[in-house]
Amino acid sequence: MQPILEIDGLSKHFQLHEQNKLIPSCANVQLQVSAGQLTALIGPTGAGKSSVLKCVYRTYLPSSGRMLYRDGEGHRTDLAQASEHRMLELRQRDIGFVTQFLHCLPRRSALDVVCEPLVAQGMAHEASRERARELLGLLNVPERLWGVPPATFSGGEKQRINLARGLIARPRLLLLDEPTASLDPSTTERVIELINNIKTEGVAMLAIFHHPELVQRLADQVVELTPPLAVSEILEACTS
Amino acid sequence: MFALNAARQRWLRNHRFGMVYQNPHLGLNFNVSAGGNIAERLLMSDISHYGEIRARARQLLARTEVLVDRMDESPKKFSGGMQQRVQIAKALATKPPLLYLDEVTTGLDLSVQARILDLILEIQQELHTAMIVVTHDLGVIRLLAGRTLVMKYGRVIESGLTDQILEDPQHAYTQRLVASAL
Repeated sequence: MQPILEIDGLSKHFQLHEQNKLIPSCANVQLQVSAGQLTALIGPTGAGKSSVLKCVYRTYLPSSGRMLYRDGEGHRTDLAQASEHRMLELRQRDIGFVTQFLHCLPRRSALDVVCEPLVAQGMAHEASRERARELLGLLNVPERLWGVPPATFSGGEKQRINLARGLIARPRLLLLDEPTASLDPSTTERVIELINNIKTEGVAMLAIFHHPELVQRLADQVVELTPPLAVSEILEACTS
Repeated sequence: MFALNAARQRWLRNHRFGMVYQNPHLGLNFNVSAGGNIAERLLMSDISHYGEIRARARQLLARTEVLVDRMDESPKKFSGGMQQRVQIAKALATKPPLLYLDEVTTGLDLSVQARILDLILEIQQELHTAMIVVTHDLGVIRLLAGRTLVMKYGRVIESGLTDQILEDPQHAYTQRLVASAL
């Protein structure tokens, strides 16, 4: 079976003009993600795990390398080169991202925040709310919170809203950045169950987990990243 | 568009574009009522039945949360936030596929700002209106824009997806801009 995402030679560094510094992040990453499988990224802090996810989502502009995404019709797009419009289209229909922090529209109820990806896809409001209620229930989010904007929620509650939002749209490729970092054990078990469910539905996942145990239980492939080279070494590599 | 003759340009402006200015004086005629302002737009796009104009004005003002009871008053007597709402109603009168928003929340009270932005977002989603927004406020960009162009000295120096511009700005000026956000 053809992988949904093939990353080849991906590197990211930040050039800070004001400070006149080059900050390296991930370097020369290779990996593949296939339908119904989870690829886990592991490695020490600063190895650029989150940067890989952000490059795939194009929140970061990759410095070099290719990220080939295969859509439902079999067309391949290099996400590193894709136009902004293509990226927005893929974000709406194909690629989901659950980050460590909840970024959502202010002043909207948790329920509306969760069902927003479905509404954006064109689903009727009430039907999408029904799905959102179902998911929030599965993730143990107390019903009294559903009508309230998540701004005042605890870390774990926000995280669950974030997860529900990522899972509801059933993307073909889901990026997960420590989705269980601030959850209690019983909710973590629920999340594991949900991840396994969408895996059987064929969702491809690229994930970072806080606990090695989760990697062991959920990952079909593991990719280890090493901390980046120092700038001087990069420069040497560039000039040689 | 630049190649079109004046009549064609005017037609485009009246039928296909909507514009909301920072200064309500530019977008509204203070010598006529709020409803009259909307009627003006509708007349320009060839809707001339009185009852129809009245009904449409009422509907637009209700949608932008302007008290319909006050549609016969001059917008001169309205608050700043309310004037912006009348401007938005007027800009939407011809159901334009493209809406220009020029610093529409600058200078407004924060809570008024938030409600105007919410209204604009709702319009974006409900009517699928394409929008070009000009603003100094990075929060407004984050809220409303999928794509962002950064300009300096009259030129576009950087463009990209909005979250990329805010989290991974490439140009020195953009980096300074993002780092300066409160």
